[in-house]
Amino acid sequence: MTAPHTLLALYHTMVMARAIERRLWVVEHTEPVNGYLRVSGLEAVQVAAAAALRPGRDWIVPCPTDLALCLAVGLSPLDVMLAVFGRADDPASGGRQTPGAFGSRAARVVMTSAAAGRHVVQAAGIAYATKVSGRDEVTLVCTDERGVQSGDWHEGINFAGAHALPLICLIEDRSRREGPIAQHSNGSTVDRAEAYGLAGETIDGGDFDTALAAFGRASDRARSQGGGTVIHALAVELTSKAPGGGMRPPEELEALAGQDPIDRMRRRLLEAGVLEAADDEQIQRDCAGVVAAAVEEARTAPSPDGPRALDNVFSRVLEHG
Amino acid sequence: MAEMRMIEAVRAAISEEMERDERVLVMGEDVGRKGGVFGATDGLYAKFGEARVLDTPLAESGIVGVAIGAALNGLIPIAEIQFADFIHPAFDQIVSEAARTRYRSNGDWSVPIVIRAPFGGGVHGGLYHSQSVEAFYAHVPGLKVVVPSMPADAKGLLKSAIRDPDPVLFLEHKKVYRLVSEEVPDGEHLVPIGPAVVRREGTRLSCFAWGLMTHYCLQAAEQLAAGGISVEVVDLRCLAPLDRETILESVRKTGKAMIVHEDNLTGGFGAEVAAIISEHAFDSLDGPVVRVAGPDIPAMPFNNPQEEFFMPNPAKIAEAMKKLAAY
Repeated sequence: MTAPHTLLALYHTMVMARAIERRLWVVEHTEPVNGYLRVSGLEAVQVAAAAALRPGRDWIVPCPTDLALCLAVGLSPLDVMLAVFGRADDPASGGRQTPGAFGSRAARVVMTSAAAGRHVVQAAGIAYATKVSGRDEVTLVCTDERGVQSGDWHEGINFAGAHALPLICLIEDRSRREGPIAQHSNGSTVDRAEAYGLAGETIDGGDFDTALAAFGRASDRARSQGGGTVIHALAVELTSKAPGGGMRPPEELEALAGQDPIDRMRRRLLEAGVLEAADDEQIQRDCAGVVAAAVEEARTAPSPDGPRALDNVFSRVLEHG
Repeated sequence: MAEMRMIEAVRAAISEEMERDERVLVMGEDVGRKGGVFGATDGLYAKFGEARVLDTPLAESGIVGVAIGAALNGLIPIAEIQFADFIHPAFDQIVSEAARTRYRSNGDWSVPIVIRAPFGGGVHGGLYHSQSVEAFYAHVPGLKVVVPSMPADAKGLLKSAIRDPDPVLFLEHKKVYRLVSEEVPDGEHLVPIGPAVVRREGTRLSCFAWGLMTHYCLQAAEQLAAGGISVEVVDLRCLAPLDRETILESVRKTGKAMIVHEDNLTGGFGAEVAAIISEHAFDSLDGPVVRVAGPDIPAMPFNNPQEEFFMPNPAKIAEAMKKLAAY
């Protein structure tokens, strides 16, 4: 049973993630930045994952859409905007990586590359180190539905299955296909997970309670040496752009609105008496205000010095370089 | 001190480091029960157990990717690629992931892994068991590339690589594994990654090589000495970082430079050494910078005449040395 204050905090994170995305729609058209962060539709499953993990102890290997997940484990809106503007104080990479590459060694959020799926096999390595060290840690690795097509996804999931590793692989699938992942000949993602020796389940990724229960089962399995789990979360991207290109027709947009995970979470909290309508309005205003302030602060923050591009290639300046 | 061949020196380095630090582990295809196809990890499975001497699937990207992850979580993996010819599926994990992790996180994360790979030809390995891959990787900032030619160096450099906080590609020439033996210091024997070593002093020309070619250059230099031509042979040992000072110092002394490698000529690492000499020791040169290398064909053929045609050997190198000395 999740405590009311925790539910409210998670809801606040969901709203914040959406506020950041919406604000970036404007910023990327008014500023010389790349603010391409697309989290909408995934907020519920991401905060549910965070709620099931122990921040700073369990490992998170995110993909670029994991804004709500990373906010839930410590990333701040200002951190996001410093990355968007490529500023020196961007704590993840000092403005080197394109926005969406979150990472923090202290928080055990691994900085990943832009290559889909490569991080899945690395996550298996993280989980292997956990197992041989005898520590109580779970590794969560996230990918979108395209990452599942990469060879490294298969190599990583196979390795996790062969060693019964404490790994959870979340597939954030906004392709709106309930059958096989695109480009796969047949079989569901759950079938593939089970073939590799992991448990698997497909869930409604827009429903917080469903997602939290799935992560709870997966975490319990991992912590009891029961092996890994693939969670295939179905969700929708709440934009007017259709997944396959072009624009969504009005009737489809209307249908999507009913699947908004933030609306669903809001209704749940209102019905449970955890949230009052007036409080919700305040949360919306607060998040919009925090994001606007973060944009302004990041806009005027210093850029890195050009020659500092030479820093951190190796652990120290080489004597023979 | 014990007399060792390179394969035994490699094994000693791994074993000693695993004894010293329980975070060190070995992973790769057949490294466990089999002890590696060349025997580099022979006996380690029985000594350290299957968790630290890990047989992996035949999936090179996975081998390196798992090693990267294990390093992120505090271990010090030594990943073995059974033959350097098969390292290519792991190129992305090595170049885009391991070598860039420190950089892309602005120093927050690091990947202390060693990737060992037997490389090189002259063993009738054909197209897919003879390749030299050093040029691909020496091009990559964030990655160190080490190529020992002698047993004692192999031990000392590998121990240094295992203790290095950055990713190291450690290339072991498979023909050198059992080619020569020498006294190898017991226990704590560390050779720093970076400095080259002058294997033979000389005055008429400088010859730069690594791996098996160091031995061939020494043999060729011995031939020329009989004719009164003094050749200096420099074993680079490490291609990244590269010891530019020793290269330039040698060229400034002799006035002539030759680079020998068995990788094909165009875009080979010799081109980089030649460029450094041209750029920084031009005024000292008394002849063209010469490269002796494999021909620009896709890979080394299996059949004997064509393998011999491909490989630089002491005779070919000696001929090139005479020509350059006479220039």
